[in-house]
Amino acid sequence: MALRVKYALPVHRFLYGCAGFIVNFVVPIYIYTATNNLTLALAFFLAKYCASAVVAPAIRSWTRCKPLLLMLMHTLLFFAASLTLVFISFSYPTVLLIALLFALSEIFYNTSLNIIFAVTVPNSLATVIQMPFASGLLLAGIAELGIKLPIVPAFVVAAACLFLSLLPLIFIKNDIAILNTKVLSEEIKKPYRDVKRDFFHLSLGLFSGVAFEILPFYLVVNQGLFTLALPMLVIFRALQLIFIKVGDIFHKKGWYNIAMAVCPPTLAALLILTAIFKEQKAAYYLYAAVVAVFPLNFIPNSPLITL
Amino acid sequence: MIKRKKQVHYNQTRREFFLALAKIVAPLAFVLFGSLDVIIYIGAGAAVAMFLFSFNFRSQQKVATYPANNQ
Repeated sequence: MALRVKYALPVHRFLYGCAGFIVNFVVPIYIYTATNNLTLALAFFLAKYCASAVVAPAIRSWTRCKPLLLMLMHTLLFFAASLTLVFISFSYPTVLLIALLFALSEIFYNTSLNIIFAVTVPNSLATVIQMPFASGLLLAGIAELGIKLPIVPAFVVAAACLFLSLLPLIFIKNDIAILNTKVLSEEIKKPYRDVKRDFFHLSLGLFSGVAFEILPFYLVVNQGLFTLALPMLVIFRALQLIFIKVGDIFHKKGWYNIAMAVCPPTLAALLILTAIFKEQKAAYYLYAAVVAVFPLNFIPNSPLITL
Repeated sequence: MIKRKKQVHYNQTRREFFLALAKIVAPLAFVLFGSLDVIIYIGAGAAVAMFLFSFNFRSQQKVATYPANNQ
């Protein structure tokens, strides 16, 4: 089981990352470039976030359904949203519809993710979290190097990646119950109603939305073109490896407080610098650094589960 | 075990709700201020808030109060 899970999850996350990148990164940029309307693109973000906030509690009782079914629904909704995006003319109602479909798709994925992956993955948490960003930036790098996909083939590629990403999950289908049992023994023992914890998640949600969805859009708007240089990718990969190793050391030594003291202030400083240098190439490097440092925020406080 | 599973799902749902709810602030800030720069600075503020709500100020122990291990 351990061997299958070990390879199935990262493979799934990598493939899913290629598709997820296109949704979170390209869709608002596509809306903006097609309409030259900044407000319309921001309306997409707003509608998507509102729908996610409403849908997440609404499907609470569904979380005990078969997670693979949720994953399938996620894929179908992604298809529906992509087709709507490609074949429809943009206006506020249509953008809201697209945002709703993408939000539903995303929340179904997150819900099933919590169950299928049992949240934690041994000794590679940071790697798994970064996988979508890694593959996404890789895709952007390929595009920058000349294989620039028009929007329709791009979504075909994204959809293909989504379907392919489901295949590795078949190998762990029978292990889900065992994974759940293991993770539940480590999870919080009772429902929490802690204001401080809620505020932490509010901060985390706001930061991750700005850093990983709006910031790329921000850079494109300010620089007028969609460029991600190859040197940035090299630096990003190097930083990623370093910070994954740093996170691993911090976890082994139990330096969680230090990680928290280092990571969020660094992220804040990087975001401010990105805003200052928004019209320069350096902004992309700073964005890459934000992505690379982020896993330090997820050093677990409980013993990792051995699968 | 079944009872505990429900509790964990409750925690997950609560977390997902707050994560999604907070994101609404960013595009709303654009509506209010008409500037993308404001959004980035709000993101920087959110990072500082993450520190304030996760760092364990009271104890000299190395363990943070609320690391986001259950993302």
